[in-house]
Amino acid sequence: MLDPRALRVWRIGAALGTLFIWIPAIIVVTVTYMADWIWPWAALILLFPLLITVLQVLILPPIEWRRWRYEVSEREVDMKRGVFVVTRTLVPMSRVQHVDTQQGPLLRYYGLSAVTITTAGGGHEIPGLSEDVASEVRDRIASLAGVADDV
Amino acid sequence: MPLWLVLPTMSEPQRLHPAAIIILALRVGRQLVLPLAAPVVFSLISQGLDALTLGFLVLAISALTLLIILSAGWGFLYWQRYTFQVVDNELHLNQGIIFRKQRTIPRERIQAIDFVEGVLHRVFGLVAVRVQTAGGSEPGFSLIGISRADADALRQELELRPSQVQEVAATDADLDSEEVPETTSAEPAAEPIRAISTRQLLIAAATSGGIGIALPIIASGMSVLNNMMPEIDLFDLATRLFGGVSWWSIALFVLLAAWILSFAGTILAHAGFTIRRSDDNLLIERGLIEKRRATVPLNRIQAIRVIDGVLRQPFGYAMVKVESAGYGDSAGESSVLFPFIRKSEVDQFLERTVPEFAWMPASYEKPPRRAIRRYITRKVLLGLGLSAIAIALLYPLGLWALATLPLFAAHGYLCYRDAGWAVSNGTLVMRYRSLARSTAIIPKRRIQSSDVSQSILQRRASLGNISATVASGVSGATFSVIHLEKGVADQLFAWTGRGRTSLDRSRLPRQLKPRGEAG
Repeated sequence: MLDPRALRVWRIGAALGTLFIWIPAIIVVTVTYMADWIWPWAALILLFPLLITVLQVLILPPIEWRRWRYEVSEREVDMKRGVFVVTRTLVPMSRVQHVDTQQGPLLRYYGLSAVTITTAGGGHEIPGLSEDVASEVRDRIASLAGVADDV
Repeated sequence: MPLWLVLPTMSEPQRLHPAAIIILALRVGRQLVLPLAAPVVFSLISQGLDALTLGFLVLAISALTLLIILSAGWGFLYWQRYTFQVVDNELHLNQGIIFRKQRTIPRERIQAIDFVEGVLHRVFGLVAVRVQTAGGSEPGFSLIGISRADADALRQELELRPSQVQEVAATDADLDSEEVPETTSAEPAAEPIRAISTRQLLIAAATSGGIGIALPIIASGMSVLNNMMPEIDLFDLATRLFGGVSWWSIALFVLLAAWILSFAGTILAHAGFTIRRSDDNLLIERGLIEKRRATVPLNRIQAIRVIDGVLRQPFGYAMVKVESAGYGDSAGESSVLFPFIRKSEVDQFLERTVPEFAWMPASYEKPPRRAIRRYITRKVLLGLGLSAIAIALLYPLGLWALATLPLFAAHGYLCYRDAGWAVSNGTLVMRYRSLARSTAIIPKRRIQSSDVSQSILQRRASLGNISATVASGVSGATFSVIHLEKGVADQLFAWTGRGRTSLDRSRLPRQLKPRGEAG
């Protein structure tokens, strides 16, 4: 389970992300308003960012949050996530090269941290754990990775 | 209680040497110089010597001051936030000004460390310590500047043998690119395992899939040419070659040009392709004008891929590719092991070059029949999308694109027919078709991570996808088979792991029972 605060951070992040559609949409509507050109029909364009916002900020994050599962066993890290496509990922301990905890300003404000597990084939992230849990998970994986030796 | 729990903490968090601030500041300064100098240079160019007024001097001086403050400030903050320490047999790093990062590297994962000495490092008597992790596609990271004494202490704390430490002299430019200078050793020339004959080369060139890449190049090249040099009449040329101007003749002309381009490309790249094996390395020589030599260490090879090109499969020929890991002088990449080989000889060829991967299964486990519809729908939807674009661009001619839909459906069916997997003795073989058919041979011990996924549409039919990732280049290479029976995908997924976790309660199917394999 991820930390409940992760949900809030995701929502803020998603809300910021929707600015990329809101801003162009508002510009289009403003221009048509000023030019008195197909106004007020153009205002319907705003429905599109509205729909995306409802989906991205209100509906999807809680489902995604509820679905997220991870487990660190002695031999592997097991992660399960996804709303439309549910994906489960297995990373054998013997493949782990290093483990990071990272936090940007937003995560830090909420006292959260993300754990990134790096293998030679790429990175895997467990997002939104509380700082304490994240450090614990990081150290646990690192020490288990240290003893797993069937390289 | 494990031993590491009772060991005392071996060191306090340590900073880099203070002189590293200068190295850091210079590094960021070099990146900032251009944007900050731009306004100064711009006014010099636009106004010539007249620009040398008081205002200009103020501008220049303030740009310089800003540069110094920014880079020194960043260098200092970076240095201040950057600490490292060895605790419990692990190397811990703590870094980041705005984005904080704590990294833990188990000592067992550290393969070797390099002491890199740049010009600036020499001035201050420092070394940069570059840490290499096992089978890694990137150097883990590098400590930008610590004193030699500290570097030696670090080596001792990590209990690395002196042989695991490499001294590297480098200019500071090299430090950024993280390149290891080449260590060439004279390899005795071994007997070639296989060399391409002229006849094979010609057939290979004629059937290479390069036409798909060359086509857009030619097409866009022609339209550019047409705009730039209207006096060259492409229509006229096409008319003379094929008689009569029509869309067909132009399309034929473009197709022919693309084919010639891809033909020449293959000849240039693969002429004289020879593969040898010397001890634990594969030596590959190829190239018509520019002779290329590549050395692939056998233990860096992660997976083998046999590709039956669209034009080659009907004739029973294929190309063999290799995914390998590494960095620096032995950069990991996906490269050609042999460009053209009879399918029936692949097994034997692999046996002689990369025995670990020598298994071309005789039969494959398949997706269930109810997946056929999905394989076909997928491609038909793609075809519809492309047709929509064609129609939007070229109405009404684009309507012809709809005539290609049966081709997409047929392709979808082929994708279904070719999808499959097989498992034996710790090796997973996945076969799938994108355009060409690929067979990926992946030893279990090379799998870096695996995924099983299911979309909401697949859930209703209880189908799922499986994929396995191996190290290759920077980001790794992932192979997938889609629309398998979900239960089978789950079991295959469990097989790629070591033990079982509580998220997984499935039994191994008959074909996945271990056959005397370790782990």
